[in-house]
Amino acid sequence: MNRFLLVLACSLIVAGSGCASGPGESKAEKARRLSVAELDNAIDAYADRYTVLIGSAVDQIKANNPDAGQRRLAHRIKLSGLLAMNDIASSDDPYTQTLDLLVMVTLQSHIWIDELGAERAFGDRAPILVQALRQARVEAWQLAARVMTDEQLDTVDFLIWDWRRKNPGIEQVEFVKFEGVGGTRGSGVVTELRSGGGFLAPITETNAELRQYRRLAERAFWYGKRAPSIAGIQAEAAANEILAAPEVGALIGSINRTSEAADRVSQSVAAFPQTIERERKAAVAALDERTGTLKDLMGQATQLTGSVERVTANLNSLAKNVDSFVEKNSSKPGDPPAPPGRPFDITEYGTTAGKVNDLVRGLNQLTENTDRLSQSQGWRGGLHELSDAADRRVRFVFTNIYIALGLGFVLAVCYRFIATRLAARRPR
Amino acid sequence: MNRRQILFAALLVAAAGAGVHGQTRPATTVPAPATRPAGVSQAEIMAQVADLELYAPSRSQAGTIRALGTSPFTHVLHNWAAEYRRLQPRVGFDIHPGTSDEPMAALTAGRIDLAALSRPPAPAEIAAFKKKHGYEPTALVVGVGAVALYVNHRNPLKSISLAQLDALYGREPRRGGAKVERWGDLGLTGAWAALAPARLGRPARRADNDLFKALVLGGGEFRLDIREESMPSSLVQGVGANPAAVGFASIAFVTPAVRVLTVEGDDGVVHPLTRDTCLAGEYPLARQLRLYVNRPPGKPLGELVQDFAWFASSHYGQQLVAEAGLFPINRALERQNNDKLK
Repeated sequence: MNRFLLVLACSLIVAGSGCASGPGESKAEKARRLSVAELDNAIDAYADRYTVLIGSAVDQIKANNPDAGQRRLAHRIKLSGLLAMNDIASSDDPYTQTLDLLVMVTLQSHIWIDELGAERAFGDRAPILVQALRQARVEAWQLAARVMTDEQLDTVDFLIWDWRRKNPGIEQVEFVKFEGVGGTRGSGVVTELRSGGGFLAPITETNAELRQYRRLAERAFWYGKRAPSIAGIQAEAAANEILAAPEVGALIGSINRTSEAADRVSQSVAAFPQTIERERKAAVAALDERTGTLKDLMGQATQLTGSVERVTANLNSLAKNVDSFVEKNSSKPGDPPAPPGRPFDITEYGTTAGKVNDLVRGLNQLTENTDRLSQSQGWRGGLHELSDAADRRVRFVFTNIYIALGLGFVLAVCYRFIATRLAARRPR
Repeated sequence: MNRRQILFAALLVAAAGAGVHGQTRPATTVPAPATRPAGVSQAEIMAQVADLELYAPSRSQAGTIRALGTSPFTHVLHNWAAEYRRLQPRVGFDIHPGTSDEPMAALTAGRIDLAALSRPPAPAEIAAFKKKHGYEPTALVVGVGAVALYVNHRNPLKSISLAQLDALYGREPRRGGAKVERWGDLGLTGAWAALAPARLGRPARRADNDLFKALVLGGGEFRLDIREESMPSSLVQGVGANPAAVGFASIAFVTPAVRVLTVEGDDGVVHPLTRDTCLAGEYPLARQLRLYVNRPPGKPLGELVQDFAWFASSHYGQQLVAEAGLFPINRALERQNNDKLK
C-alpha cells in the first residue's frame, strides 16, 4: 500500500506539473503563469525559509539573554510561527494557502514591527526580530506576486490592514486565516483567483483531485522530516510555560525555600561540635584573661598593702630606735643629774651599733618600699589624678586672672570714655 | 541527585509529553500597543463628521453601479458599497481597482458610472472627456487625503521643505538644492549626519507617485536608487523597520513605528499634516478624493448614482472615509456636492 501511494504520488507530481493554461493568453502572461506544482514547491520552500529566518532570530535573542521572560516570549514566537506555517504548507488548496500565508506573515509583522511590539518586548535585541519578520514579509509578498495581480495584492493588503484596525486587541494572529479577514470582499478575491483571474494556472476538478493525493504523500514526507524538531521546540515551549506558571513558580519557590532551610539546619547541626569547642575555648580564654587580670590586680593590691605595712612598721621601728638613741645620748639642762654612769661596756656598744645597723637597714627598707609604692599603679594613678587636679586648678586660676584683667581693662576704657564725655559736657 | 533536580526532571518530562501530544498553540502575548494602528480614535472620527447630514433615502433603489478607482480610494468605495447595500439591498456594485490613469479613461469610454480619483485629473484626461462628450465631467469631493513623508520614529528630523524633498528624491533636482546623500545634508547631527538615507517610493502609475512627481519634483525623474514598494503599508513598515529610511505614501497607513514630517511649502511656511491643513489646501501634498460622474449640463444625474453620491457625502459615508484612515469633508464641501447633485 505504501509503495502504491509512493508510485501514485510520483506520477501525480509529474502530471500535476503540467496544468492547463487559459485560452487567449499572451505569451508574457503564459510565461508568468505558475503551475500548481510550482506554487506548492515555492510555498514549501518559503515555509522552510521562514523557519530558518525566524528560528535564527529567536535563537539570537535567546543567546546569553539573562531575561527569562524575553527568552520565553521569543521561543513562543518561533513555535507559533512554525506551527502556523506548517498548517499553511500542508493545506491542500493553493489559493487559500497563498492568502493564508500572506495574512499570517503580514499580521505578525504588523504587531511586532508597526506596533512596536518587538521594541517593547525585547529592547535592544528588537532589531534582530524586526529584520527577520520584515524579510519574511517581503519574501511572502514576492511569492504572492507570482500568482496574483497588483490589484489583487492591493486588495489583500488593504483587507489585512483593515482587519487589524478593527481588531487591535487580538494578539495571537499567527492562526488568523484569510477566510476570517477577507469577508465578502475576500471571497471575491478567492473566486477571482479560482477562475484564473491571477497568474496561477486554473485548476480543473480532475487535476485538483489528483493534487490532493499527491499532497497527501508529500505531507507525510513533510511532517516526517520536520516532526522531531517541531517536537523539540514544542517541548521547550511547554517546559517554559509550565515553569512560568504562577503555581509552579510558587511550588518551586517553596521547594527552594524548604531546601535552603534544610541546608541551613543541616549545616548548623554539622557545625555543632566545632561551634561548642570554639565557644568553650573562647570562654576559657576569656576566663583566663580575666583571672590573670584579677590576679595581677590582687597581687598589686597585696604588694601595695604589704609595702604600706612594712613602711609603717619600719617607721615605727625607726622612731623607736631614734628615741632610744637620743634618750641615751643626750640630757636636758635642769634634769636631775644623771646617775653615775656605768663603766664602758663593750656589750652596750655592740648593742647600739646593732641598733644603728637596724636603723640603717630600716631606712633602706623604707626607701625600697617607698620606691615600690611609688611604682605601683595605684600610687601612680593617685599621683596622676592629683597632678591633673592641680593642673586643672592652675588653669582655672590663670583663666580667672586673665578674665579679671580683661574686665579691668574694659572697665578702665569705659571709665576713660565716660570721664571724657562728662568733661566735654561740663560748661566752661 | 537531590529532590530539586528530581522535580525539575519530572517537570521537563511532563512538559515534553504535553508538547508532543498536545500540539499546543502558545499565545504570543504582546505588550499593549501605544496607539491604534491607524492612529485615530473613534471619538475623533465622530467629532469630525458630527455636522454632516444624515443619509435618509425616501425611496428604494435598484440597479448596478460600476466604478473604478485608485488605491486607497477603491477601498473606501468598497466600504461604501457594503454599507449602502445594507440600506439598499437591490443595488449591486461592480468595483475594480486600477492605476491612476485608468478611471478617467474608463469614464470617458462609458464603461463605468463613477471614476474615483485621488489626484487631480490631467488636462489631457479632461480634454479627452470633453472631446467625446462635449462637456467636462462633474467632480464631487468626497474625502481628503495626503501624501505623508514618513521617517523612522527614532529619526530626530521634524520638518522638510519641498526643495529638500526634491534634492532627496530627484535625479536632477529642479528646485535648486544640492543632492542629499547623507542625513547630515538635511541638518541632522551626531551619528545621524553620516548615515545615508534609505529611500523608499511608490511604483509609477500610482496616485502617490504621480502626485509626488508633479508637486515635489516638478515633473522631473526619480533617482535610480529608490526602492519601490508596491503596497503602501509595506512601504510604511519598511520605514518603521529601518532607522535610516524615508518614504512617502498615503497618510492612511501611518503606524506608531514611523513619524510624519511637517512640510515647508513654497510659501516658506511649515505645515503639519492634519485634516484642517488638508481641507484648507495648506499642506503642500494634500489631495482631494473625487468622484467623477458623467452628467450632461442641464440634465439630472441618474437617480441611483445620485443617491449613492449623496450617501458617500453624508455623515455615515464620511465616517467610513475616516475609518479608512483618510480625512472626511466638512459641511461646506458637502453643500457643494449637494448643489452639484441637484
